Amino acid sequence: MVAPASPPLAGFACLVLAHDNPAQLLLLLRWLGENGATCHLHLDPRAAPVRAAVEATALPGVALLPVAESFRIEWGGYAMVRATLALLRAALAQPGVQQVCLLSGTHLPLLPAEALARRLGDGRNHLDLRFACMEPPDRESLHRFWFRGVPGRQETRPLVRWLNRHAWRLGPRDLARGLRGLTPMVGSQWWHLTAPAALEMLAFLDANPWYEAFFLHARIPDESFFQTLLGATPGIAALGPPMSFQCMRGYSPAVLEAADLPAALASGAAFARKFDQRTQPEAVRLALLAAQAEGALTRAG
Amino acid sequence: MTAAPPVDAWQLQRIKRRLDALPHWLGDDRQVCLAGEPPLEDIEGQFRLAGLRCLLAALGARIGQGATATTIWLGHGQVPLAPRLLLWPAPGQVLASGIALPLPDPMHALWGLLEHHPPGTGTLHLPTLPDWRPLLPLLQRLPPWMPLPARLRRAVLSRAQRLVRAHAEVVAPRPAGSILAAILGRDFLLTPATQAYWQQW
Repeated sequence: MVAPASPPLAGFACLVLAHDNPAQLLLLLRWLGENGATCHLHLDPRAAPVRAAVEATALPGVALLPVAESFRIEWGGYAMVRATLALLRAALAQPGVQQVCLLSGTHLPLLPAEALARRLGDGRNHLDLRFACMEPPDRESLHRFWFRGVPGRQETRPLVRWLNRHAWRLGPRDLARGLRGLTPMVGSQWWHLTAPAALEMLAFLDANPWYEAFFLHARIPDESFFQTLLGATPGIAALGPPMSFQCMRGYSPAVLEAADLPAALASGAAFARKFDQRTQPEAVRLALLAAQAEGALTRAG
Repeated sequence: MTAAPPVDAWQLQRIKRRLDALPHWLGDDRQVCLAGEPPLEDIEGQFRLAGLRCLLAALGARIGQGATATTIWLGHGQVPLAPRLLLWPAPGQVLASGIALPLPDPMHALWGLLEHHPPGTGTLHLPTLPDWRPLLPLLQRLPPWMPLPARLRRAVLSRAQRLVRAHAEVVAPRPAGSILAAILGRDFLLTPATQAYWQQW
């Protein structure tokens, strides 16, 4: 008797942060579940319709964080880190987890499940990791560590913009003391970690509560909290290319169009965002086609 | 003199991490007394001191006097008489007594804490002596006998950073100058002394 083959994404725990567009979110959850990944989902407590939609579908392999344990997320605020940590702890409490991916509800895969498992299961951590000091000033560089920030989108909220522009008047924070010798690092919010690296990071956080306290008032901490921590973790040499593709237009990631898909596929990333089947259904169709089987997109022309 | 390949950011990170071994050399109470501090015009020495202060702050070490304090001598003046003496002068300096720390220059503790931008142009020639007065007019205006508040010292170091950042590459006769250039993201030209330092670490 032959033992049934395990699904390609067995051992993958996907942490998903979402707040709207339930139909798009369900596409991702369904694909991940069909391929054997477990999903740990955080929904903003204000997103009641999305929660209702997810609960109504009752997808197997999806663990939805209860409302009481969820966080009201402001763009660029620390609640995003809290939500991610809650998902990470829930995921790593399950047995058999080998890989952890942080995704948004607008991500979709760009590779068939087998290829994706091979790409991310090579023993490396796949994320965008850069030294903050080398960033140009328009990407905030060390300013996001030096100066306290108020969460919220600056381009649409003049008061937030004014407060963050003038935060330097309070003087910079002492990074050497505040970060206790760690090097400030930044990168895209979306990452893939091996379970041992993620466990090591959680152990560090449990032993060093000062670390979270420092980031409480940092600007856009979801782009620096995990990155700085991973940069200080031994074995950082095992770093692979980023797992997520996005197309920036101005200061925000754009909704991907069908014309963006060739660049996304050529990037070699395992996932891409932002997809929205309400406005760009063709891009969604092409991504799902690419994720079906090797060469499916080529055959479809 | 040959052109150095750009120092890789991860190499700088690895060298910085070597400084994590410092607590091994300090006493249990981590009380440290600094001696032989550089004069203000020795800008490279001032950055070394700033790096050491960063390192001690990161470790939670206290700077002060005391019977159990560990004295770290930074290479200027006479070597002090102290029950527990660590020597951390500029690399290559002849040591007289005490324990020479087998660690890289403490300036490396500043890696990642100083911005690289904006990009500069041209070549900056650092002085052959550790005296930056020819490069920084502000230093010429400050009388050497005057005790300077910390704010003014920070302003001097800030000007020095701006000067280095305004250039694309640096000619550094001493290793400390090349470390400063690397920490600020600037290429530097190798001299035999700088080459030996970077090969060691």
